[in-house]
Amino acid sequence: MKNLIFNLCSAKAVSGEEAPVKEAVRLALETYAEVSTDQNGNLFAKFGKKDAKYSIMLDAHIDQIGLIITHIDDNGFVKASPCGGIDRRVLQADRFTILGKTEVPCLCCSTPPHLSNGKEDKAVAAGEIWFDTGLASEELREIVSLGDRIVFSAEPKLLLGNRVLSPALDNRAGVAALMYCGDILKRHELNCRVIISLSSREEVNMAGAKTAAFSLYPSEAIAVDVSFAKQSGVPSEGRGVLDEGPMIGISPVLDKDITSKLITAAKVKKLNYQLEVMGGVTGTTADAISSTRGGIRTGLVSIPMRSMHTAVEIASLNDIAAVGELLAEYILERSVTVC
Amino acid sequence: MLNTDFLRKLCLCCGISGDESRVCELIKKRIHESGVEMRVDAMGNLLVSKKGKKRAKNKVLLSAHMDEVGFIVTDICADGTLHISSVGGVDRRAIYGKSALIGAKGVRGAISVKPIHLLSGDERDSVIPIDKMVVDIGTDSREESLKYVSLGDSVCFEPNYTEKNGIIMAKAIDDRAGCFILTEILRQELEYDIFCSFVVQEEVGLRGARAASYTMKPDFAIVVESTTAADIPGSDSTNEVCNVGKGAVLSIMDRATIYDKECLNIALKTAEKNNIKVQLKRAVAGGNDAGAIHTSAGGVRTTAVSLPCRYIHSQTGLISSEDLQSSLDIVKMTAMELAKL
Repeated sequence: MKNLIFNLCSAKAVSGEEAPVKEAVRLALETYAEVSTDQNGNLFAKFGKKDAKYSIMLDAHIDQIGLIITHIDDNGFVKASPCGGIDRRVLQADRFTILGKTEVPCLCCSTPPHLSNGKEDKAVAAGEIWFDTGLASEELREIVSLGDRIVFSAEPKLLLGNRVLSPALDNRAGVAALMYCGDILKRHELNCRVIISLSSREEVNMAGAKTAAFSLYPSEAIAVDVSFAKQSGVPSEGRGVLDEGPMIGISPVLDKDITSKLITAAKVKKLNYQLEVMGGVTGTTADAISSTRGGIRTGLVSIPMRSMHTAVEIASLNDIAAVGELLAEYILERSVTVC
Repeated sequence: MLNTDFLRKLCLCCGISGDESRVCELIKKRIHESGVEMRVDAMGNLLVSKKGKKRAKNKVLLSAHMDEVGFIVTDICADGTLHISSVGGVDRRAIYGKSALIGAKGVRGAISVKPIHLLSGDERDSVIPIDKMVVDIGTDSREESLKYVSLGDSVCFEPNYTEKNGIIMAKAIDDRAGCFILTEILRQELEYDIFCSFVVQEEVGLRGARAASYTMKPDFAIVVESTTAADIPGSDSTNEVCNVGKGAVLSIMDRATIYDKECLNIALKTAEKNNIKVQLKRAVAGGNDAGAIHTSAGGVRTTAVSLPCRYIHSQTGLISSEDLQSSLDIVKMTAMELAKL
């Protein structure tokens, strides 16, 4: 699991430019599944019974948050807008990579305290996010263009207790869980069709999952994403806990039957699980998928995470593997009962 | 082209103020075969002398500090997170959401961030004070954390070093670049005798340099430092202080020192004669070990050569390798001029 997650998190793929991760997953999925891509940047891996009437879509978004270049100035600095929910409080003086013709290391500009005019306690303003490559503008313009993405450059690292630190864990953790699930299922004969959908652009407008669900129109779907874990400074009510297993979602927009069968699967497999109750939409691709076409019955399983949407996202390798096992158990059971 | 392998090693090494011994060991190893005499004093300063081909008329001291800014563990909470206090002047806007290494074992942690989704409007724009920040090392309880960290452990920004297209981005450029310049000079054959001090505790009040200068009793001193370059978008030419790529920075005055005018003029002339790119610091801002050295004992005639560095006092500074070369050249040549003055 460590190698899988490090491999996935080392790929840099901001919303709308997901190709680098797709390269990283394709080889592994092709060994047992029919892999295809679509016009919106989604990747599908289909396996199980070919002509089965019943199909289950497992969706995880493959993109990560970042920024998009809107201006290159004459001194070699670039200005960028958020591409996804960037937290402006963590940007200053952090290390980033511009995904230009080649990768260009850069730092997010940080105004020295003596020039801050009383704004020492303010995060960088949304319209004033600049990056510094140190290069002259002519040099820079040869490798960097408007629209290129910028991403946190921190490499994945292991923390104590099998926990991992990386800015790409949202949602490579989910992608890893689905690949782990696929690795278990490929050893079984299934009566249904399973489609792993690695969808694009979740962090911007879920364009990937919306259209993927339309094209695939599965009999049912389960979305896998990350969710909030208990952490210092955050009210703990309703939050998950790291290493206490998959967070099974309960919400008005999710299918009750799928939710309860996920719980049963966890019990059968003797997996620790936790319930995450939400009063409405879930903020995940489950929202987009469930209301596609005439509606698709959808469930949600999340991986608990601390410090989401930063360069220091933290999740547990154990939880990621457990989500994969839970989904595999659920599908093996479904394959017998619904088909 | 300057070989910067040793600068890389220095920058990747952790050594916040009061915990500089690893940096000191690296430097000792680097210069021990260069015909130097060296010793470490009671504070941890590394004091070095090297004979040149000729005896110097004046005793010239080159000084750079080994310490870097960082944090220290002040408490361990019930949930396993660590409270920290800053060591030296860390820019608090450049801390949140950064990773760090803790203690002698280098346990990795990260400044914990409340997810943006859970913030109210005002919170999204405010930088929280350091005493409200905690470090998450991946544990869930105080007992578990105590197995790996202790109160008083150093917390050092995640080591990083990138060099590409003549630009160096790295942790602790301030002042490992100065240490690097001094070691490069010590490794060369020199015309005149030279003295160097690699000092501790600059970031917490210029403390090491005071003692080093007292012991060394030089006639002249050159402090080799990094200084804020604010040549970034949003600042105009009147408050840039200095510019990356425009050469070594010579100081007239800062908040700790009015520099010796004759020494400054010698440095400027030396630069002109040898075609070395230099610039004057265009603000009375900051301060460095010159503040302690020029007032030590009966007084020392002091000058400062600084590398223009953007984002100083954060996890990563940015300098140009050309400026590094210019700084090395001007320090060495000015030292030789002062030695025979």
